[in-house]
Order: sequence, then C-alpha cells, then structure tokens
Amino acid sequence: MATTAFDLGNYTAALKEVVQPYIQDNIPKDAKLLQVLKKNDSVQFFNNNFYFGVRTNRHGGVVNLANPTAQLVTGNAPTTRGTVSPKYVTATFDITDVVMKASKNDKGAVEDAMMFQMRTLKSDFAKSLNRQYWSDGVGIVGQAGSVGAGTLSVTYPGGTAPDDTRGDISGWFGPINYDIKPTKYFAPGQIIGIGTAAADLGTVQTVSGGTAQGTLVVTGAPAIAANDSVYIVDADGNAAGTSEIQGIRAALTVGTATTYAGITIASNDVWGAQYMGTAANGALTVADMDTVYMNAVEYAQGSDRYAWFMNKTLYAKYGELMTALRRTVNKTELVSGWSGLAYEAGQGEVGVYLDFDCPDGEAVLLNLDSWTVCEVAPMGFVEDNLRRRSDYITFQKVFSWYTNLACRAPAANGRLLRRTK
Amino acid sequence: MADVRSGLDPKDYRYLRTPDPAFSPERNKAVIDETIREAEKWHEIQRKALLDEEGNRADILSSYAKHTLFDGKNKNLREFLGSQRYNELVGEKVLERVRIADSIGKLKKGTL
Repeated sequence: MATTAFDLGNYTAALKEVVQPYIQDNIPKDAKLLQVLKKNDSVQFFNNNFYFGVRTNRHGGVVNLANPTAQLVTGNAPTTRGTVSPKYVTATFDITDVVMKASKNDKGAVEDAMMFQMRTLKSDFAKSLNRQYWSDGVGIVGQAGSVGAGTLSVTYPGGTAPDDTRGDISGWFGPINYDIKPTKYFAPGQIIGIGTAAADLGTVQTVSGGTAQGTLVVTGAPAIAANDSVYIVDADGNAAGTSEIQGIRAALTVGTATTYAGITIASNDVWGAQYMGTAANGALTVADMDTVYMNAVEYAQGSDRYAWFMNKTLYAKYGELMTALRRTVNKTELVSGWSGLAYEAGQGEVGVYLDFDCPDGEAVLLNLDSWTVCEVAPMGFVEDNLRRRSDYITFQKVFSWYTNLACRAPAANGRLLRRTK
Repeated sequence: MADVRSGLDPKDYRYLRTPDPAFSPERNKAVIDETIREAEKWHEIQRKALLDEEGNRADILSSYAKHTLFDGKNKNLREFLGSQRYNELVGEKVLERVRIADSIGKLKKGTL
C-alpha cells in the first residue's frame, strides 16, 4: 500500500515554531528554584569544570596597634577555588513514522502530537531539575522495602541507613511528615538501578502506592534486597552516584561528607552550613528558625536575599505558629506566581515558601545570593532538525542542559531537620 | 479563659505579643490557604501533564496503528483501550488524536 510520507519539514517547522520556544521559555518558570537563582554569577568554565572563587576566612592583616611605632601585621583574605563539574540533564522524545504518516493533511494532528510531547517534556524536565536542586547529587530517589519477583516496595530514603555512603547520607532520616510520596519521582519507562553502585537494573512498568510505601513493578529481573538504594539511571545503566546536580543537600551537608566543591568543610569556617535538629524529631518552632537564621546571616553580605522553604506540613505549621503567636500573617512574593508568608526576623523581611520538593521534615533557609546556576550554555534542543533514529522508524528530539549548582557560602545558609507538626 | 500559650512550644513563649488591632485568625488562615492553593494549582497542572505521560498517549496511538496495520487485527479504538481508558482520553481532549486513528483506517482501506 503506497502512501505519501508526511513532509518531515512540517514537523521540523512545528518543532521550531511551536515546541522549542514553548519548552525553552517555560521550563524556568516550572522549575521554581531556577527562577530565583542567578546564572553563571562569578563562575568560569574551563577544563570541563565550573570554577568559582571563594573567600574562606577573615583578612589576617586587620589589627590595632599598641602604639604608633608598633609593627603592622600584613595579611590577606585567604581564598580558594570551588569546583563543580557539569551534569548532563536530558529529555528525549520520539515521534514514530506511523504517526507522522497518519497525520498527513491534518496539521492539527501534527500540532496535537507535538503539544503532547511538549507538555510532558516540559513538565518532567522541570520536575527533575527541582528534585535535583534539593538533593545531594548522588541520586537516591527511593529505598527498597519488601521485595518480590519483579516487584519492590519503595519508601522515602533514610528510614534505615541506605546502602550508599556518599553525599549527605547522614542527612537522610526517612519520612518525617510523609509530605513526599515514595513513588513521586518514578515513572513507567524509567530504567532504575538498585543496590550498591546501582548494579542491578530494571525498567519500571508500573508505579503505584500511597503515602508511606509505594510499589514498582519492574522488568529485567534485577536482584533486589531490602533497604537497597534505588536510582534513576541512563540507558547504559550508568549515572548512579555522580551524575546528578549537586544540589542543596550537597552544599549544606550535615554529616559525614568532608568536602563540598572540592573544599574541605572542617578547615574552612565559611564552608559549613548552619543546622539544627539532627538528633531527634521535634516540633517546628520560631525560636529554632531564628537561631538558624541568626547564625546564617552572620556570614551574609548586607544586601543578600533570604528565604525559607518548607514542604506542606511544616508550611502549614508555620502559619499556625504565627496565628498562635497572635501575629498577622502577610503574603509576600518571591517571584511571580510564587507567594509565601512573611517571616519577621529582625533583618528585613524574609519569606517562607512552600516547595513540594523540599525534603520531608526540613525547613531550609537559603541565602539566594550565595547560589549560582552554572551552565555551559542555555538549555535547548541538541539539533535543529528531526533525525531518524538509526535502525528505527522513529524520529527523535533531545532536549539537554549541561549544568550544575554552586554555593559560594554554605555557612550563610541553614537547615532545620526532622521537624514535625 | 484559654491559655494563649496553648499550641506553642515553651521555646516560643517569648515571641507572644499583644496582637495588632487588625489581627484576625480567620484572615491569617485565608492568607495561608491562598498561598497553598497557588502552589497546589501550579503542581496540579504539572501532575495532569505527568498523568498524560503515564498513559503514554502517543504510544497508545502508535500501538493501535500497529494493531490494525501490521498485526492485521480489527478492534476499534474503544475495544483496544478498554472503556475506562477510552473515556479518559475523551475527557481530556487527547481523543482528538483519534483523527490519527481514522487516518490509519483510511490508510488501511487505501482511501487516504
């Protein structure tokens, strides 16, 4: 049966005119943290790494003289260089030749197919970015509970020590308020790596489950043991452990990690974040928020912007605290479309904002001016035109971003952990 | 009279103050709920798009095309998907892409 191929140029044109601009314009709006952080602020890229200067301590040459003839103390402000490497964030979609041919003479169907791919690509790319921004770069997305043939239950990581000691592993405490569903970041079609070094691979077939525990049905018969870490990996089965954006939990680590961005935490005062609450669960209090805030602001520069971020339970709790303290709650806006509650901490107005990807049980104080988004180039499509995948009747587009996150002053940021209602 | 400190951790007692004349618990709740709604609205939009992906709608149509064109079978789209899934597609407008399925039918008959 002879058919006339739908003109590839029509798809290419639709991509360029409809899909690409929509995705590139809207992903930053949907990856919420991306809206509020600067890009490539004092960052250089060379030798396949991002470099940023960091002042690590006070100037050693500041001293009062005992008398006018006393000797001066010559010194300088010690600096060092932080280093993070680009991470390769991608999103790929295929359009089959069957769909393209079937939509001949029906440009509406062409645009519909494109619109579908556009919406899902945009949504999931942004969602992945936001998750990574909150994480520690290791990529543990879940933790195995009970296992069966081709199926595993997953829980929010940390209830039992995960079998990966990298990253902010001592900052994982398991579910606290159950604000993040254990299956939130899983989707059918993903390839997951399970266990030490993500050695066992499977493809997610179905995702289901509730608040405390979810279930993944996987193909590939991976070996699964209880408490195994679960990662999202690439089609080569790699990418676990070192491929994700080194986000907030990497820079503001509370535990055993000894370095961040190549700089030793213990020997540099400005490199350790302010934190409280690791010993036990406890109720969120304004007093604790103020303690973390005051400790952090000591390391800030005068004009720095601050914001608290919380997930659902703690956000509502904060609002209840304000009412219990008989304070009028005022709305404040971080960026267009993202409003929160004002937090009066004596150093200007600081907002409290709801982010559904903020780690469960944590109130995170970010000095927004100490963070920068590092990018090799703005996010975009790999090629202009549709290309047919070799050995398939499928055309493929790849959206990519080579990026990482860097914090120049972790000590000017803070975390309250294990907070409950 | 209820203790005004109820609901507070002792650490927070020192933050109690005489309320502003305009203080209103109801107004506070309205402001809090409004900001939560804004955040949920944004996330609902994303969740619906994610559901679309879980349904793999584009691949549903490709699979249906394969079913009719290459496997030589002849279920209609409703039978192929099942009623629930079919109705979901109708409800979410994606069924406009059934035009593609119609086009596949025309291809099969050689009338396209």
